[in-house]
Amino acid sequence: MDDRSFNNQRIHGMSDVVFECVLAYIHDSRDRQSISLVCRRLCELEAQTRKHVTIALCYTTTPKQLLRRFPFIESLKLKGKPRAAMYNLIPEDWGGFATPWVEELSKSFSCLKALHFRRMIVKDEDLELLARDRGHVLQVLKLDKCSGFSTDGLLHICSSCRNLKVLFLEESQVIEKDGGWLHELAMNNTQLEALNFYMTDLSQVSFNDLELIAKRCKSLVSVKIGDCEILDLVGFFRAAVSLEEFSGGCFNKQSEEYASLAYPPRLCRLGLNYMSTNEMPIVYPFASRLKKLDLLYALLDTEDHCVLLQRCPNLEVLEARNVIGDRGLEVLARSCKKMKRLRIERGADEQELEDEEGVVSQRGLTAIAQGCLDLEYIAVYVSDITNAALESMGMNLKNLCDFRMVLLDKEEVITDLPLDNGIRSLLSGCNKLRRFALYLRPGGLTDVGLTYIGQHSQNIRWMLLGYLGESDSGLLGFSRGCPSLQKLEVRGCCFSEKALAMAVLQLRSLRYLWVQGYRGSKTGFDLLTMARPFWNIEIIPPRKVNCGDGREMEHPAHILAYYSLAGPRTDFPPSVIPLASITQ
Amino acid sequence: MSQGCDGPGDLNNRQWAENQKNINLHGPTQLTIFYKGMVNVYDDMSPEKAHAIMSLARNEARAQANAATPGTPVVDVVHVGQPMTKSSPMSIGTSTARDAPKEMSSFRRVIQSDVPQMREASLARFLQKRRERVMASAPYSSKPASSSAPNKEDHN
Repeated sequence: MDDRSFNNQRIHGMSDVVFECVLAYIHDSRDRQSISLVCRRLCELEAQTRKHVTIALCYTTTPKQLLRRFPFIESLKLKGKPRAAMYNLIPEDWGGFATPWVEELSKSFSCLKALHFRRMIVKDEDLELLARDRGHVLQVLKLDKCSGFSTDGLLHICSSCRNLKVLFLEESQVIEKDGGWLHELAMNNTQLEALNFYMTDLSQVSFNDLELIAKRCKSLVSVKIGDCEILDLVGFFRAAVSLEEFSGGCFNKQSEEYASLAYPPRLCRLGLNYMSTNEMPIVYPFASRLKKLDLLYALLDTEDHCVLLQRCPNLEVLEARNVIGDRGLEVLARSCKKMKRLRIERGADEQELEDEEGVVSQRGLTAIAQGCLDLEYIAVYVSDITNAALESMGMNLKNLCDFRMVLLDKEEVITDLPLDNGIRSLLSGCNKLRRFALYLRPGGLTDVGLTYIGQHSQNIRWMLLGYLGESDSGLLGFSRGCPSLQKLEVRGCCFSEKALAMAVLQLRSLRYLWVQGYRGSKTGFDLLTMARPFWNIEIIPPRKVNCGDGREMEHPAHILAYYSLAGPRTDFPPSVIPLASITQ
Repeated sequence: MSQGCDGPGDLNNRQWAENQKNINLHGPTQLTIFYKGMVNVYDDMSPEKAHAIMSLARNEARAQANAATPGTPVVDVVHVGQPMTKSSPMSIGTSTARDAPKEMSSFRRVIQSDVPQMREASLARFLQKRRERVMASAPYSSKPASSSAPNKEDHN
């Protein structure tokens, strides 16, 4: 218990100063959270020395509450829309508005140097305010999968934030008016270390400005751009002597013209967009230096992947489409023993557009399990799977923290379903797992298998369950376990509203739930079984969405529920309905 | 109608009633059966045959629903209706879902396979761009097609 004498600040007989010094070395937010619970004085000290805060959902608290609790933060990460927005499942106007945050941050957070908005709606006015009030101190700005702003907003940032080290816009939907913002950045900034407008449609940028940035910013280490002809970047590559990471651009000219292309000498993280077979030799001279390779947007077939990967013994991170095939994964397993992160995405459905060898199955996964023993992260779309492959992963991949597997619905018959035993082996073998996603089909995992997941997921904090289980009893068995589960996503399962509500009440660490596809009750109010103080419940009703090619798709209803200190939202769009929430 | 959670028996009863309506309205059509992860599609199934199969499965389902074990897997007997569309190859009961009135009670109609597999947004955009590139670049494009992937340039 702490000493309550007010004129002598001591905790357990030690002066404050001791704790202040020690706290500076403690960075993990969970450790800090524990410390802040010891006594009031330590809570205050911890709050005063906290440097970074991540708010996993911006509606769980308010800017004023953040200010009261952590007034001196230097870095803030805020997330808005549910993760499903990355799959085009969430209405664009759902929410996650940056405005109230930017207003308070600009006014009151005097130490703020780094700001990261993820899946939020950011307006030009927000960027203008930020630039005006924080421009002189802002070092990091990340607008990560955001929308709602234009290049005008960027112009404000680039004109005023002369100390900007990181400008990150990856996958944001930016309304493009011109390329002036990049020009401003080139004229005003010499501190830039990382520039990223990858997967945006910003195309009016000038490669001359890029070259100028490379010349003036000696510490430029990472550049990821949109579509821009690679040959136009020769000057840029020559100037960017410190560059270690590059992605983007495209190869539109004749293959021979690229023969003399010289990448910067320290380049070891590379994304080869629109590169096809004949341009691959450009990479060979330094392939052995490569630590990270992004082939998601390359135009390579299975054989190309095999040839290239064989030359990359130091590879640690690989992203590719499933065109890599089982054969490519076998080459990876043989040649790349240092692999830490592997992501295999789903390629085109039309057979003509991808190599017919381009399928991943238990064969490739088993090879990876046996060959890449240091693997920490794997996300993979498979066309076929067996329990044995999962068992092999459980036996061999002891460092695995993040496992995500989706079974594609192309093949009618899967070799070995249900996967109950394989999943159990995987989970009990990989006991460092923190994140887990399994997306199968009816019959893929029984209620028993779902209960196994609950029983063997001691440390898992986030899960996505897709088409798992057979009935409510599976979900209830699952929810008796999962002691650490904080965030749960459920899609395409057959659970009833009532079972979902009961599961929420049983999952003791749960603070966030997202569901799409469930058996609704007659009134729609069975969900209220989980009503309780500080628990917000929202529904996105079923809606029809244009697929872009004239067709319309039915999107079933969503349930979103989360703990919040802020009460119900006050900015609901028409597409989102709150269920009655009970606050204190 | 019972309040709260419907058991599999009740769901199948409602499906059964819908199916009877559909059978009477449509001629020979497609029957799809899900069982333990396998999908079997039967074209040109006559209404009488479909009726017989569903009757068999329904009796089976009812017997299991009455049994003591709650977690017994039940055959998902599927609606006789429109042939499966390419966009949602595993979709069942699409006719019923669309017909339900648009209010809270329409939630009860949501069945698991009505949730199609989606792609990550940036990847979907890339595949679309590539499709357009392939269609725009003719067989006589400036890029020679590599021998290992002859289809890259030929697709139209």
